[in-house]
Amino acid sequence: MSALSCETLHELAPEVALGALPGDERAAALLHLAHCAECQLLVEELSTAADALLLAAPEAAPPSGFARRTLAGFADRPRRRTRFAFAVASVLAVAVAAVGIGSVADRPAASPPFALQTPGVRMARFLAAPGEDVEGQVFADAGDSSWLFMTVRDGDNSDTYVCQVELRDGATINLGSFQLRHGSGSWGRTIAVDARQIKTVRLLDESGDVAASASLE
Amino acid sequence: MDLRSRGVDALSDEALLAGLGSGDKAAAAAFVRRFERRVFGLALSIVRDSAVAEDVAQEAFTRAWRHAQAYDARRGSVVTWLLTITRNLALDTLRMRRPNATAPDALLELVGTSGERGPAEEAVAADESRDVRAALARLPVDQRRALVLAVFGGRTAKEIAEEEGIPLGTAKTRIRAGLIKLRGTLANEVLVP
Repeated sequence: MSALSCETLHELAPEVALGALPGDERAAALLHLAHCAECQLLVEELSTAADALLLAAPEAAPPSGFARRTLAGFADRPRRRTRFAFAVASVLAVAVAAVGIGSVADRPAASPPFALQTPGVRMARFLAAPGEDVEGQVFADAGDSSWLFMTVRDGDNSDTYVCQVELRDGATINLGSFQLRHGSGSWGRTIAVDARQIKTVRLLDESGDVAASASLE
Repeated sequence: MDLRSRGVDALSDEALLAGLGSGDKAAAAAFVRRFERRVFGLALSIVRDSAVAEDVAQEAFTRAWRHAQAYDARRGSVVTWLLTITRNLALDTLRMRRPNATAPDALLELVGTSGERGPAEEAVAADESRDVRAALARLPVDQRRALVLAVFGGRTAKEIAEEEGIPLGTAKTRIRAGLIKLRGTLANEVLVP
């Protein structure tokens, strides 16, 4: 996947903001945005307008009892608690495609500005394990080719993290590793597993302990 | 904090969301009451089926409840965050059930771009919704169509080009020009921070 120039990103910015880019182009745009504050600002401004468009949809009264059923659903489906303990599960052979879509960036976007995402692209925030300061976001797309992309920030260290995913069937796969530079970085790659099967994305530190996790459910 | 003692309905959207995320039942009920018409309305506009829209709307509120802590006020208002969740769920649902089922004309009608919205309906719409519709209505119709297809139809530029029978470059130009004009209009109306 080739790197995009600022000029190209400016051309694509409205489509990024509207979620109107196919997965591979979106991944390239995300990678550029992780490096470029100027382009981030442009996409952020356009995203605000794109998001506002949702307000144009007409309101409609839901069927009688909607609120009661919705609230009852909260009780029926207790929130999952983020599991920070490292669970040794059956670690499958890594089935990762050979094409990486990025490496470590110097200045990642801790909070990518686009809220209106392509349907099918899921986003989740990393929640740091107790005692950890790791933060960031992960995007997963199950389009023509599944991919993961993440931005990570952790103080000012240069730690190396392993990206591990847990699938819905409980299997875990280590997708690869990357090193932060001056406390930040971004990383991503295409993967040979269906991204829709990914339940949780974890960052493991050099000891194999979970530093942060993000639920994609 | 006991939200009941403060009158939850008077709380800001952000405070209600925080209460929802913390498990406060009164806040959760008030949150659903406050946004259910918008969430259901958007879901219905996209999936065009009341029962499916109800499922989508319920799931949207459940996602908001489960991921309330992920809300970042710097990235937009609570209502746009919630509507974004709803929009993506509705489009995903529609694509699973009936790929390519949503007709462009229906999409345009849903935001009043065909001029069929009556004054009575418009009068009860929230101010911000009226402002957005008015801004949208000021765009050339081809740009409106492109934006509506992208936002409510989940179409890529390539798909818009195919549906509209226009070159890809033209679809991209319409999207770009429409969104930039819309941004300018909304910014001038101080709707968009």
